[in-house]
Amino acid sequence: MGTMMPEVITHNYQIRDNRWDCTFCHATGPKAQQASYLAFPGQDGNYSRLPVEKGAILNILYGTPDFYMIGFTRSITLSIIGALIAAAGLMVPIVHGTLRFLTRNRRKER
Amino acid sequence: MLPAMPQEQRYITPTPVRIWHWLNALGIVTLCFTGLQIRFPEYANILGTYKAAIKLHDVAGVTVSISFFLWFFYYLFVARSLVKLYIPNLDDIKRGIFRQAFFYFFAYFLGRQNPHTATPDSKFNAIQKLSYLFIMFLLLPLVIGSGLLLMNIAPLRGWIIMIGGIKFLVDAHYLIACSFFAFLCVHIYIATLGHTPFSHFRQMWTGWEEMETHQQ
Repeated sequence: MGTMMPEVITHNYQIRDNRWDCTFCHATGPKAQQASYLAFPGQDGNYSRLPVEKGAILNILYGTPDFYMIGFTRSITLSIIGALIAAAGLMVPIVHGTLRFLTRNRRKER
Repeated sequence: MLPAMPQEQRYITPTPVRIWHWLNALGIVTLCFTGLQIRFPEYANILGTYKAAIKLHDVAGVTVSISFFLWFFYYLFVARSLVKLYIPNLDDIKRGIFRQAFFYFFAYFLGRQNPHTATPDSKFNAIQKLSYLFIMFLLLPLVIGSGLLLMNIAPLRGWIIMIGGIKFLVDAHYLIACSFFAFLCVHIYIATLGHTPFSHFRQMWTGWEEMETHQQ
């Protein structure tokens, strides 16, 4: 079983405020993501390193049941479903309010 | 033409419930805004820093959680009207829901009277009862529970894995939050359907509801 380790530890997420948002660095594509390696211990005590391809880090993170990288491991599909739920809520006042406005004279007569 | 004349006033909402309502409203709105920034930090930067959004989200979440338990305790043990006010009865299910839906979606536009009149013992119409039952007894406990787990990932790790992992928990928390936002939009709008657009807001602020009567 390999151990994922960054080649050079350059930051701590607590150093700067914007590092709380992991997507600041770890969005798909940046060079920092592709500079990670899987390290395999050898019999002579050294490590052999395997460069991690694009997307591989994410797959490893998805396989960990108790890991959540803020802003990055979110599901796009669920983000869209959530947005549709919110939009449906917004549509009620818009549609009902429009009909209410159009029928205001009739309601005043009553 | 029968001009509407608000004359009679009824005391509908007691002070503890009004305090809870506005505290809860402030908390939910805060949670929506800060939650938006936490979920979509690259698009929404409302509070300036990400850490500030998380901290405020936590504070608002704890506030809403405590106020929920106070609300529950008050209605169950002090007012003892939780079941009567919030659980739909047989007539609500058989007729009330359809009668009220017919009013909201059709009769209202013809200027007809609301079939339900609020009284201290029957504050909510059938649709309100059903909505609040769903919101207060299902969605709010779920969003509070998932939020508390997310605030304590390390100590409650076993629970989180048992439920299905953090990603499931986060997505469930997010979808419930979106449902809350949708409810908030509808709730605020429906509150403007009183005999004046602000009469229900005034009632929730003062406790007194002006009852609409008509000249003969």
